[in-house]
Amino acid sequence: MSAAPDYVDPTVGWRCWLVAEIRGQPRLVSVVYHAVWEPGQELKAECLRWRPQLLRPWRRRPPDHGAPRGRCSCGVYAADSIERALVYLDPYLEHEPLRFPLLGRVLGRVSLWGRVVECERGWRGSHAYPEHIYVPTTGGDGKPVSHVEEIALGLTDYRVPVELVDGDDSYGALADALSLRLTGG
Amino acid sequence: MEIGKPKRSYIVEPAQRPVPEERPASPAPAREPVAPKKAKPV
Repeated sequence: MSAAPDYVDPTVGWRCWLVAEIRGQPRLVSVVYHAVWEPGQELKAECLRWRPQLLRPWRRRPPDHGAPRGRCSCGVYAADSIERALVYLDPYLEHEPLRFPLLGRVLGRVSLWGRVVECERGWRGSHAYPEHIYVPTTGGDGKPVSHVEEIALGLTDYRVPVELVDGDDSYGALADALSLRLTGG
Repeated sequence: MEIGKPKRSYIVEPAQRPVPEERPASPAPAREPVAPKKAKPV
């Protein structure tokens, strides 16, 4: 990194992860692009948007910039509020098929550093690592998450605080439970 | 994630790396050799 830093404290925001079974262990996976977050390793962003070539639009060219770039949409995402991130706990969100067995979905805070693009309602960063993981005991479909204690125990491999959060199937209740916990209420 | 339009960008170089280091396995505590108890004469 050649530019002088503007801050020495990481930017911390909210995001959701899928939890998948990878090599027999629960691991965090990005909801949209399914990047695997390995314990003890920061996730480094890369732009995945291949654009059509100008003269041969049927062919695509790789990105010509590092992530994140302000004018692109690349980078590791974090939202500025629990509510905005909670939308991604929805089990009915349609995405690419996951290559690994899906165990559940979790919410948490994430540290961003390196190059960070501040947006209207969150941030995109070049480097990221979980800062705190909250494991809902109830899924977005209202059913209890099976083996939730085992999932939480497995996620301690990330060596950040992992907590179970009770809440019903409504995101509002989960957000309230988390807010109460964070404010010490 | 819908986080809106970019406003500005900046560089963060954390004073402390946000990735927790692996805790080194603590060595087994050294134990003083204990002399075997002598059997009491019956």
